[in-house]
Amino acid sequence: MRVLVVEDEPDLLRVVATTLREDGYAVDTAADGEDGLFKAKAWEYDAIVLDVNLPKLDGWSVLQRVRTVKRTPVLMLTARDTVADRVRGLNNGADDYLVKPFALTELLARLRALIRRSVGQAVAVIEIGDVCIDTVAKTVTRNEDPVALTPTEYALVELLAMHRQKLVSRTTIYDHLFDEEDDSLSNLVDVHVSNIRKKLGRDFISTRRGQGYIIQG
Amino acid sequence: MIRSLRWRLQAWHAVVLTAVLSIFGVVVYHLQWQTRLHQIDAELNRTAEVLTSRLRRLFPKGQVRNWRPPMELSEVLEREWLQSLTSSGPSESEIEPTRRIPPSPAISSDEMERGSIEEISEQRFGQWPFPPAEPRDETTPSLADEQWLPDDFTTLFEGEEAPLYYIVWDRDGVILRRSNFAPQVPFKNLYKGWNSMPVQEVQSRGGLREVVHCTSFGNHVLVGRSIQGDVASQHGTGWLLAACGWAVLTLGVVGGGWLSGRTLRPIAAMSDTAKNISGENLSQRLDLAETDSELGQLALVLNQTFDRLQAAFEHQLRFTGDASHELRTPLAVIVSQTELTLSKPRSNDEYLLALETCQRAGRRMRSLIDSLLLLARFDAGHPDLQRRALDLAEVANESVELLRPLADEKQITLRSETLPMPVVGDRDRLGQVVTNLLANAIRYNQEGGRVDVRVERVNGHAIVSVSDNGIGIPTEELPHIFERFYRVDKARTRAEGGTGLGLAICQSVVEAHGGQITARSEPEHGTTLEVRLPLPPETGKDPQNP
Repeated sequence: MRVLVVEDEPDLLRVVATTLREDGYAVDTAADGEDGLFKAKAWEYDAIVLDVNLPKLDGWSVLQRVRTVKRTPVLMLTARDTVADRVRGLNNGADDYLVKPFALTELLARLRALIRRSVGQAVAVIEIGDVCIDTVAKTVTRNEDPVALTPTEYALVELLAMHRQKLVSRTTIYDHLFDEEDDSLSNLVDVHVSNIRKKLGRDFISTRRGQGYIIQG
Repeated sequence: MIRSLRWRLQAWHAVVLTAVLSIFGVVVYHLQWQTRLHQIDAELNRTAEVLTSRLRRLFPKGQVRNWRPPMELSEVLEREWLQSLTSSGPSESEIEPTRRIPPSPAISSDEMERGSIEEISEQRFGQWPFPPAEPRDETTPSLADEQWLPDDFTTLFEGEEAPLYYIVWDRDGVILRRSNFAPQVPFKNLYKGWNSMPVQEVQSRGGLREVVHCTSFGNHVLVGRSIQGDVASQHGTGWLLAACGWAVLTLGVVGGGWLSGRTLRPIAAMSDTAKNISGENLSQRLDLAETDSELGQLALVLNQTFDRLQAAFEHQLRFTGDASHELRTPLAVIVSQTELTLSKPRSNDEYLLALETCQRAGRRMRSLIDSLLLLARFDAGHPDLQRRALDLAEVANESVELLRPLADEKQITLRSETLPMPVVGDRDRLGQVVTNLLANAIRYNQEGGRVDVRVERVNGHAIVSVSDNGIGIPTEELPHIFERFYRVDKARTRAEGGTGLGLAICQSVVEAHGGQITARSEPEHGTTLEVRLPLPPETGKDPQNP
């Protein structure tokens, strides 16, 4: 899962980005509205965390312009907590709203729910055959036995499971799993897929040669 | 209800209307009664005059010397009276005696002078039906003749329903004649003696109206009539007037109520609207449909007040919103950073970084809270200034030295040109003002720019000016730069920007010192901020120009 965080307070930006990375997200950051808008348009993010008060271009304008081209779920962060502010945010196309100061666990939970909803997945636990994926605890079990996966492997399983029965291209996997600072050479998708097959069964992920991967279940 | 304007208007209207109607009614009633009495009196007087003139004929001569009855006048009066009483007109026979008076020889004025009264009387009364009477015997009245009045006349006085009655006394109160149904009337002597003028008197007794004529002989003729009918009819008129008065009063009160309701309706509408204009809905305004009327003017004034209220309210709302926003951001940093750090064991470096982050956020909150408290104290009128004599040039130079490293960092030339300037004020606060202005000038200047600080005396004021040759401030933004949390350059990130309260604090400090702060700016050429402080009285004069 790849997320963009746009926030002008450097310390808060760093804290939020670190939190999300530790939770297994690939995170891009932007310190002002223009940069945030550019990145939001350039990449396929699973979600955007957007502050309202931003230099150069405020959060509302960024949201408006992103909505013209993308349907990426957006979670607004703001210090203004009046009902009018919240209503305005939701009316303008924000998918959720969080008032500063917030608990990081709440931010993570909301972000998870946003991403799940955006791909049409209503519950937090995905079952595919004998494999069960808990998106909250970030654990995978096979026949009720826990399976140890690396964060990247888990992220790949989650991504494919979220889009089950749909073909996910290699590029999409790159875009959603690795942030702008990752060195793509060390993150070969094929290696991760092969490792997952070893742990969850050979047929868990099917390969469409030259196109990508798919979970049929 | 009772205290409402409308009901008070109604009550006063009713009171005034009642008073006017009452006065009007009483006057009309009184005038009508007077007119009626005058008519009655005139009728009685005419009758009495006829009786008097008849009476004179009964006592034609010998009684009065040097007096001549006004014959012609009496005849005219008598004839008119008879005509008015008998609607069918006088019959020939009744007025025959008068008519048959043979034309007496004309009496010229010469004869009048030469001849005696008796001669003329004899000539003229010779053919009168009543024989000329003998000189009156005082003890035996000779009024025995029942025919002393014409027949028509007697019908006026005879019978139960007779409208009039009469009584004739001589001057001693002996009744000479009276009509059959005349009531008992006490005699009242009006005779003043010989040569006195005839006297007339009008009196009302009970339901009777009477006139008494006293002739020069001393005979008293009373003619009277009952006025019971007139009184009853007058009472009827009175009731009619009262009924009309009530009707007019009712109409007036109802009409007045309608009118006052109509007049006050806009006021009720205005008060309804004003009630609706609460903190939630300050944008509503009164209807200004009737701007020309007094109420329209009132609505205009109220609307202007609401405008100011709304502006102040919105300003306050914006300020608290901004303040809360500025405080929540560092708070969010502290809360998030600690939560993240505590979520799992960390390395020492990570703990160090987390603590540094929290310290930065804490400092920022403290500086913000200090600024807000300072502004609140100035707003409340308790600036708590340590006023002392100080040299403004010294204060300015200290600030310059304080900020020189920052200027050097951005390769900005910092120049100061100061004259000794003794003023009275709070050294720390004034230092804060100059430092703030300098920091802004350096922060918003291009690299390699220039900042000038000048302390001088202009028109009896101490002036501190800070000018830069930076990008300037757009003209439309200039009026707002002293507003709280207003940032001209929205592009500045929080990392390099201040709290947004610096210039607001400068303004508050300078105004608390009795001075003023102004900004001039030319886009692309630079900005000058000027602080103008009053000089103490003894140094207010220019030393070069005492």
